[in-house]
Amino acid sequence: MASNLTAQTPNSNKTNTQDSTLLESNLTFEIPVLLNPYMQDSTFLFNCKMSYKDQNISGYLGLKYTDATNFRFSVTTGMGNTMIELEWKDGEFIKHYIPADLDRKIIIKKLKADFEFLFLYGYANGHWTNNAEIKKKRHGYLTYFNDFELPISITDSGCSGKKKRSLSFGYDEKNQLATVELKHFNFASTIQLSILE
Amino acid sequence: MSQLLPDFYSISKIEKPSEGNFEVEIKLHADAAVYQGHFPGMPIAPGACLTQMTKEVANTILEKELMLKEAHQIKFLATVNPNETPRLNLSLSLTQADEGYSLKCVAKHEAKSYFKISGKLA
Repeated sequence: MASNLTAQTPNSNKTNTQDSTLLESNLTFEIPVLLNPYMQDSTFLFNCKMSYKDQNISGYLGLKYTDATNFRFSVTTGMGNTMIELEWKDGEFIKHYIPADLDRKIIIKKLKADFEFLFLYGYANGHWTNNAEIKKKRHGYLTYFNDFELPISITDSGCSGKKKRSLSFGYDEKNQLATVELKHFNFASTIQLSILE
Repeated sequence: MSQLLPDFYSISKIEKPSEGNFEVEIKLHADAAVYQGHFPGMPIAPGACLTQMTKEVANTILEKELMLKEAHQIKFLATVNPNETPRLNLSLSLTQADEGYSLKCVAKHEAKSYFKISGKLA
């Protein structure tokens, strides 16, 4: 798959499918390019389950985009306590709240990578591309779409080609985003989100 | 009995089917201030408010001002959206224990369970 991809910038979110032009060796192909499912709306409220080995956390995850690359989210428990509140703003990662026990460099790095993969990946050009492997910063992202041209899985492989993480999407009968699952292949950690209606 | 969030709920009915057991019907108010933040456009009753409500209902029945001193189990089994679930039925069991009361509560609406709380009031 070609590495040089030009696509339209995100705009009205009114349609799922848009055209783009793939340029390679002076040849032009038309391929379907789709909007990031998170960008169909600016705010989301998910039921959230996060697990690491035998540790589980469940609660609510509220997510708000201000534009394609800036967003803020918080995870709260069923009781209402804030567990995590993080923001991505103009390329900067801001910790609004994180418990002292989790405020360690290695954990922050993992959380940052996971939530970037969950909510930020695909913002390049504002689109997701069907059956394409995109190379970016020593990662390879392989995407698959369903019959309705909605993304159903994205697999993140490291520079060695070994699978590291995957995102799986589920949709309701109206083809609206319903569930998202992030799963690690190299250690037992998952994040499961389901939209609250 | 005083309510910490007076606009959060009201008690519609209290029945006593047997000694120490009570069936309480609660009306949840969807326009309560807490739903402006939890969450905007998607009201969900916070677990802390449901726990406080359970304690206040128990205090109303006992006609005392007790505190939830110990919580052995607090489980939120389903989200409580006051628009979809405006009424909850609390099945409370209150038995006198050392220096207080043992509390068991299951909140249901029709066949669905929403939360379970057990602990000690003192």
